[in-house]
Amino acid sequence: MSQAQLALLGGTPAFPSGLPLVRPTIPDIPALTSRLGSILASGMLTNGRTVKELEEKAATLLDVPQVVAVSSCTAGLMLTLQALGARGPVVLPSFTFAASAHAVVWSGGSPVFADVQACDLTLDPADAAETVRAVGAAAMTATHVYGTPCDVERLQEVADAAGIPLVYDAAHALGSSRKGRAIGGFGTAEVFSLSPTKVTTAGEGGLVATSDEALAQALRIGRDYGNPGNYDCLFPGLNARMSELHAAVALAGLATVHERVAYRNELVQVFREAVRGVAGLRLPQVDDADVSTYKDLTLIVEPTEFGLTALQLGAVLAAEGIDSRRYYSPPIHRQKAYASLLHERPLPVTDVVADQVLTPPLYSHMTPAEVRAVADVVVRAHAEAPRVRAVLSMSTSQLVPPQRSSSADRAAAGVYAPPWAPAGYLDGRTWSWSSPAYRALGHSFRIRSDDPTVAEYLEEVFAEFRTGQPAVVTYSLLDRRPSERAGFALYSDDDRIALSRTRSPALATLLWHVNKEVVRRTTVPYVQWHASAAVRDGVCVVLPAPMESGKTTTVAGLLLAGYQYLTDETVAIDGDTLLVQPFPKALSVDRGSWHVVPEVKPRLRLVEDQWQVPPTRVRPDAVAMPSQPRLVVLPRFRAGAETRLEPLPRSQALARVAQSCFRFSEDPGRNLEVGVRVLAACDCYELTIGDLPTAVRLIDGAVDRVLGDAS
Amino acid sequence: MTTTAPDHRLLAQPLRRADEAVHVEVDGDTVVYHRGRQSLTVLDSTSTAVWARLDGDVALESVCVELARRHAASLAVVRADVLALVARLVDEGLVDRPG
Repeated sequence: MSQAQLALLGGTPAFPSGLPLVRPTIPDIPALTSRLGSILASGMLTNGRTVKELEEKAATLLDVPQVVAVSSCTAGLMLTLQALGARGPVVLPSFTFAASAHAVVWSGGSPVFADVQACDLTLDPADAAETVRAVGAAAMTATHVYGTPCDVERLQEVADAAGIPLVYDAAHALGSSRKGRAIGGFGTAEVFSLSPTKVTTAGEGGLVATSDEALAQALRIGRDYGNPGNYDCLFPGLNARMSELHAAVALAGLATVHERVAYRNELVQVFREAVRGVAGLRLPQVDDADVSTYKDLTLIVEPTEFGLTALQLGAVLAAEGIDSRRYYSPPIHRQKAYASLLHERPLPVTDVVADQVLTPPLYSHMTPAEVRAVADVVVRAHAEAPRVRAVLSMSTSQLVPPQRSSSADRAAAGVYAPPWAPAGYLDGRTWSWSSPAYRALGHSFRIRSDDPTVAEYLEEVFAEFRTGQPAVVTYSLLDRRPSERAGFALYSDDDRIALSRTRSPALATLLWHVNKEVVRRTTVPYVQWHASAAVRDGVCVVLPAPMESGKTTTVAGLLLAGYQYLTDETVAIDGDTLLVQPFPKALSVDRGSWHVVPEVKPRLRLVEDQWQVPPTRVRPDAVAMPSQPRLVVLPRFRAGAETRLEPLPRSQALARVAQSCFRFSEDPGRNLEVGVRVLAACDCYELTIGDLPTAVRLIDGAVDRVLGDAS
Repeated sequence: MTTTAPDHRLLAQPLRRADEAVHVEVDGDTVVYHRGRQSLTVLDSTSTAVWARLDGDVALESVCVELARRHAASLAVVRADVLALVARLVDEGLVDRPG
């Protein structure tokens, strides 16, 4: 392991120019260019001999009688399912790319999701069998996810027992094999992708492999609008032809696919060796007798053992310049397009692994040194997990949606309700508590709940916002236990905005939504900066910054040092008077900062991992009057760094402030003009925060200088 | 050091700030925002002097001559600096590409 400091903790990025997730590998480009030139000169651009050659060579490679080239894997799946008449329930995994389900819907079927196996993340034959029986499936599809071959033998038994076709989404698996036999020859048909992220690419394209000659014939007609050649279409097909040019690109790669797959397996072995012994990290299992293309190098991160979640590890990689994805999070059944489906069956493995997957870069001309460097970052992230967690949790913005409810929450929830309430449903309920009306800048609201536990908490959190004016928005927090497994539902008027097993995620969403609506509903004459602010002796200090910069912790420190509080989230400046209007929300102090400001620990805690600290709990007179900014301090938290306050030219400060300005692009001229007028009265600084007491002392000194200049 | 001949075609043209560019002056510097690209650029006071003259009325050569006279500087040096700045501004979409 290298001793270098992680970039997230202040070190130099491992890849300053960035390491992309994937780059297509095109062998012998000069020869390909020549062939493309010949095709263009031939005048035959689609459905010609190059496509035919590709189909023949692919059939030989895959050892199947028939291969039909199409414009994409999705189109291939759609045409295959259409040709097979899969118009009823189609069982498939949710842990796959969305196109697997889209194809079912487009071909007239209804997706029904079954769970995957924890060991390799492919469709679980046992759960698939139960689901097929339960819904009377018309067909089944399974995905060789990342190129890992499915348990094709047991899945075929399931399909045979039900008498239904089995179609493989083999998008990732051109070059994979199962017990020595190429993927392509299993099930009723297997559909491959040749898109740019695949091990073999055509630019865009797909291949359908099948032993069923009649199916192949239907696909050839289907990819050409359903036209058998006489323009008397037999069924509504697609334009899903592959062009000659794409076929030539695919042929260039097809000849060397096994070399690339072998090399990718070597790279994966390099990675495995480099992370050997790291707790809480594994790769999907590939049986010894099988070969995976490793279209993706996906890691499964067990947070309790590894020390970080997959999401946090992704942030560590990003700081190093390393691209990554969450293949496949959210799984399909959690995506908006499918949220309205009624999911009777829980998918506990899918829900858990979707939170644990992270895919770093892997491509066929990556070097072993690059792979080792990525692995080294993973190893160091594990070793430095406590410090990484502290940095990532500091000052997490309230404007970022709270983390989704836990996997256990979602698995327990099981059933999805519609995302809106029927007319009269909420008003017709009996509420054990209704709040007074609140007003925070442009957002006026009230809250009602049938969970009496939340009343005292929310009345304290929103105490500074009480108003005599009527509320515009009504939040309704329903406690539906024990009749519903998704015990808590939160509505904004009739729109459901949270559904969770426990109370904490619903409350976190409420707090986030209030802040979001404050920004959305506060309009002219206000300009809003993403910033915290406090006042001492009439000198208003504004701290604009993006997330993770220490805004809230710093303003908490100022509050404890005797400053009065304006906000920890949104500085609303009246563009006419240049006064900051107080938005004295409860300070949102994340767990990572609790040890820095233990004095502000609140009396009540209902949201996990975050204190909501009413400013008046710190001091009864804590909330400031409207004030004009005199100091603009741009904070930046750097663990272990020397705390420094350095003057900043106003032009640089304005550019940074503009980046922290909400809805800046709606009226950039006015936002800049107001910024200039605000900064004209301000001293500007950049603050590197290594420790809070020094940061507060340095700000205090700057305030003294302003007061000295004034006198 | 290599020198390149000045781009006389470019120097002969009056260049114009792009409609997409929104700017303000701060303490002699300029902050420019490009609406389409949503990018922010800070120009120092020297660059601001050029920026202020890119109004589509005066040929770039005249801008160079005026700046060289005002700062008692070599016209060749000013030309080189102005051309480099303008090339950057064109790349960033802040000045209309010369026709």
